Amino acid sequence: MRTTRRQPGTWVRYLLLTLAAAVFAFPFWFMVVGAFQESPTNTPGQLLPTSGWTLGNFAAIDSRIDLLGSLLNSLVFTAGVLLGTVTFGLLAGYAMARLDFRGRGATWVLMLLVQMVPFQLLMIPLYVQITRGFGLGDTYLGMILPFAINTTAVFIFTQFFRALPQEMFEAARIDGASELRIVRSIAVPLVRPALTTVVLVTFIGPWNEFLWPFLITKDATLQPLAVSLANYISNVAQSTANPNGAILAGATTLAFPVVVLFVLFQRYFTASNIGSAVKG
Amino acid sequence: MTAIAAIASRERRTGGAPAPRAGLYPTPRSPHRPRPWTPYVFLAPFVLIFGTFVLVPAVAGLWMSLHNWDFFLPDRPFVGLQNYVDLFTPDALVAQQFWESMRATGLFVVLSVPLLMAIPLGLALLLNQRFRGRTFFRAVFFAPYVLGVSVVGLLWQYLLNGNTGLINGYLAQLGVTEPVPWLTATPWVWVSLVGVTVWWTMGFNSVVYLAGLQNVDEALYDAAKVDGASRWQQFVHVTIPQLRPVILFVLTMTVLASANMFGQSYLLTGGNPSNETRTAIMLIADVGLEQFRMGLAAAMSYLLALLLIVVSALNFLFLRQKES
Repeated sequence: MRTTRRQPGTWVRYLLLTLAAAVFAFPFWFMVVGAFQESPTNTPGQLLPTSGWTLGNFAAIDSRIDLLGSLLNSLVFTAGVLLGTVTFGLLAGYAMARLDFRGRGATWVLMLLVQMVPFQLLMIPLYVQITRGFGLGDTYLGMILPFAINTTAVFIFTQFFRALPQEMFEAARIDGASELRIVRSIAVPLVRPALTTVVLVTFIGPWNEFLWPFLITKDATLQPLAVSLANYISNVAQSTANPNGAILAGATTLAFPVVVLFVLFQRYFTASNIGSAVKG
Repeated sequence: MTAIAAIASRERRTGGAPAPRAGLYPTPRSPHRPRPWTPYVFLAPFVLIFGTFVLVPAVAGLWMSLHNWDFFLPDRPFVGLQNYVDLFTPDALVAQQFWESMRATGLFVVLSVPLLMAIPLGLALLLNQRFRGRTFFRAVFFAPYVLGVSVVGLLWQYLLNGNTGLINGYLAQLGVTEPVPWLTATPWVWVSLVGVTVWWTMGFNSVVYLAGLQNVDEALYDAAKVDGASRWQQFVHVTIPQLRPVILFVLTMTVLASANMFGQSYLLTGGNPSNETRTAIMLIADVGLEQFRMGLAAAMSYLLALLLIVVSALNFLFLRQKES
């Protein structure tokens, strides 16, 4: 579907896309402006405020929930999930792409199955298992473990490993390298873009995850920001002078790291990278 | 053309296994062939965690659903299929609640999935062309996807608020004097829930479509043009058949995601008005984790899962059949 330049449709396309983009970006604008306003209002006329700027909303929410501590918890939770996803994903992806073994087909089906089982269906037995069975309620480990494998990551790694030339692996094996050594010194350095893609794609999940850490943590000092923010909204917002501003400030804080990462690494969110997961 | 599509998609499904490729490059015997157990060791952590945190809870859930399982009661008597029977007893309160929530879930799927299939495809077609600013637009449309459901819910609650929301503010400026009850009355609640979900997740579907479009062989379009095919005919006879595996993937994932909708309803409408937007997952969470009737909640989970498996299988069969 190639188009030649200077078609009459060109400006129509730009008009449509620009309009749609404006509608799409509008809630972001609303959130960020509101976070820095003394009294965020909902009147259309005040969407481009000229005065009333403040940092007080961030101070207000920080006095109610430990903003820094919550961010740190989010970071620990996310880092743990990423570590598991990348390590186990690399190993599994390498085995699926580069090693021949009995039961590869069955493993593939198993992985598709993991992708199909929605977390919500497991959440009740999982909750009982983690809190009662393993005694991991109110721990980082209990938060992280159920999310430590990610099928999409395995698919992405498999796809990238498959694309590498066979000779390279043969040469390494002739030189006497063990498979683990090959993964570490040859395969992983060659699939850096896949690594970045996996980190970025999986970062979003745990960073924003609300339900599971919400269930598993009763101790406020362990709660990630997504959870403590929700608690703030339902419990203490009424007693803050400018709850709307504070809530928007919290939301901005939560969204900021992902949006920054997304903007910085935008090119890794490309079609071919994410799409490679699909074609598994 | 369909033959090409079939081969292409078959290749995608099975994936180019390295085994036959090895035959093309005969290699000298080496002392370090991978040991036969190496692949299993590499897969072990994945399988172990899968077993512990997916398989075990799945079986435990089934077991719970056959008991009168309460988190706080020491006695959890075996009740056989009673929990399931309760859900099929028309005048039982739980059955009414359950099927009402299933109706809400089904309605949401039916309303959201066509939009989440069609709009991203149109957008992907637009963005697949070469033009200035393409990267920028792609970023803007993908951006909402990086937000968490808590932020999404929060933002739209402000924007859609019936009395003070900005959306109604704009509508008032356009001359709509009666404020629209976006979050409190049907059918507006559905418009809001579906609209917010489309805004939030369509970027991801677009990116997947884009990946598919970039794999379509340009030669097929050229051939179609030589045959005098119009833009529309090219779309119907080249793009769609070539995209079929991708469409199947997007459809399956979107149906599953919509059927498991929870956060949007929970945060935006709270299941209101009168539980009309309370989805199945919301009810399951309520019965299991608020009322602690976990056996009953597990039974609900299994019915929902069973239904989803059937729907996914039907999708698969339907789209596969068309292919051959």
